[in-house]
Amino acid sequence: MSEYLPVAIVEQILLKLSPITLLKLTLVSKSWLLFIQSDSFISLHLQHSPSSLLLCISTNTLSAQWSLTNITPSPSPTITTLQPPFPAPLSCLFRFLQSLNGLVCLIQKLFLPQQAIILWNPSIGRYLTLQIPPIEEIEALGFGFDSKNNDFKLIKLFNPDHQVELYSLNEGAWRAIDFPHRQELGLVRFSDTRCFLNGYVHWIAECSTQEGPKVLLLKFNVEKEKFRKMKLPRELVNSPISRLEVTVIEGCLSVLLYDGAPPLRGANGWCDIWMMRAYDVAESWIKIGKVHMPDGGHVFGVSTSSNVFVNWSNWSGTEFSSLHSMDPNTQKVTDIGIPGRAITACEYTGSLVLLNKT
Amino acid sequence: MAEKASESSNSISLNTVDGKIFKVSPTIANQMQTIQSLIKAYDSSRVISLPHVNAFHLSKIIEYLEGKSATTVSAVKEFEAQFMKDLSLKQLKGLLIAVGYLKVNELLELMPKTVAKLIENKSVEFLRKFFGIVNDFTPSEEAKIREEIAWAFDGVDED
Repeated sequence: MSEYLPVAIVEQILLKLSPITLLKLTLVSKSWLLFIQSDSFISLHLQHSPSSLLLCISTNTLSAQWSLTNITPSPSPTITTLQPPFPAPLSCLFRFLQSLNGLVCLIQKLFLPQQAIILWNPSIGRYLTLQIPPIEEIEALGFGFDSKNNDFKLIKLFNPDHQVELYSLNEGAWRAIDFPHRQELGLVRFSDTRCFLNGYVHWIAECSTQEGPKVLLLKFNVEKEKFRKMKLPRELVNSPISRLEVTVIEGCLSVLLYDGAPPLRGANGWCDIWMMRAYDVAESWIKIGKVHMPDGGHVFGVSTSSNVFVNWSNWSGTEFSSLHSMDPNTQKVTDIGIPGRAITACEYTGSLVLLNKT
Repeated sequence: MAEKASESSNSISLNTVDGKIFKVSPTIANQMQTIQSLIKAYDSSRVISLPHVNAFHLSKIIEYLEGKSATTVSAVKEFEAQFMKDLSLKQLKGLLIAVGYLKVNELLELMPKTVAKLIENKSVEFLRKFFGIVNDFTPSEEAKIREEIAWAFDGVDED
């Protein structure tokens, strides 16, 4: 093998490799280390990223298992076990905030009120921990990608005094953000879910009006760093915020309306799925289906599939998964193949992000 | 019949580095950008010499360009998969150099994916040899990086 491949072809091969192989290839030579770690290669590689997977934390009485599996359930799922590089004792509670371009944003709750945000790239085992000062009472959190500046940004709304702060991965620090219309909006509460789509982080927010509480969508443009509001379907604006969640299903912004507020979602429980077919077109909201959950549960979507995931509460079979994939049209349910009674999950694609940050 | 005769009279002769002459139709020749520009620059009746391409590589490229004109998408996919499967990693590398020289766009798109799949789990030493890269790390620099990413080396293939 004495002949050399042209540089342009070598680059094409490298762009098709998995993050873990590229991590090993940083050992090839000094110039390869610099090349693979460069911002330009990392962002080019993002565009070649392989298909989405499902990142799951399955917690049982005695252990927690972190793993990756296929989004589309198959008779023999390919399950890869992950070892989180940060301390993850059973006493810690982890929740996914959002996973974007290979960077997973997790909230780690030790014991109230102590919590931290972890930005983790499971493919290359790098992470960053951001402590939340105990004095801050979090109202809402969001995580987004600013594609213009090639930057990941965390947004934090907290009390006292309705403050807003933004953490930019490129800047490596928190800074204050203006939210000038907050008073006019009469904003009271945020839903506990959020999603990132089309450059915006979205939350459901409850506003106080003269006719009583109304809900709407609040969104934050991560590039321009500005808030905006967006309409929910008319049928939902009077719903209690505790019964609403926001998610993304097959690339469309979607809202879930549950039969009750947690933890009361229960007997003969259901959840309506509403989808905004055309982004930011209020007329395009449509109810696409209903999920029945005999013992209650939690529903979320992924951007790459029209199926939703249903996490059943009180699932009785111990050797089965509490997490299922469901076609909202046919109601056909498939086990995702990860055992566990309490599973929290999010969509994930591998990348090299953070390789040159920590 | 008449069409066939005119096609053969239009055919282009390519001479490989190991002295073998290939006659190809203009349709096939035009899918190799380097040859396309050579035809434009010179009299196309002349034999075109390819000093960087051997007979094996040119025959594979012609085989691919003829085979991928199958009628259905799935037939093309099946043909491509079989075409790649028949080649060793060493042969793929040589062929990729020829493909890069002749600028066969479809193969330039397809082959890096195939090569990437095959080298996905190879050792660093194998990859240095494959890409012809000299290790310029000092032993202690290399040991330091290797220690940082030690977990990534579970289950690497034998060379």
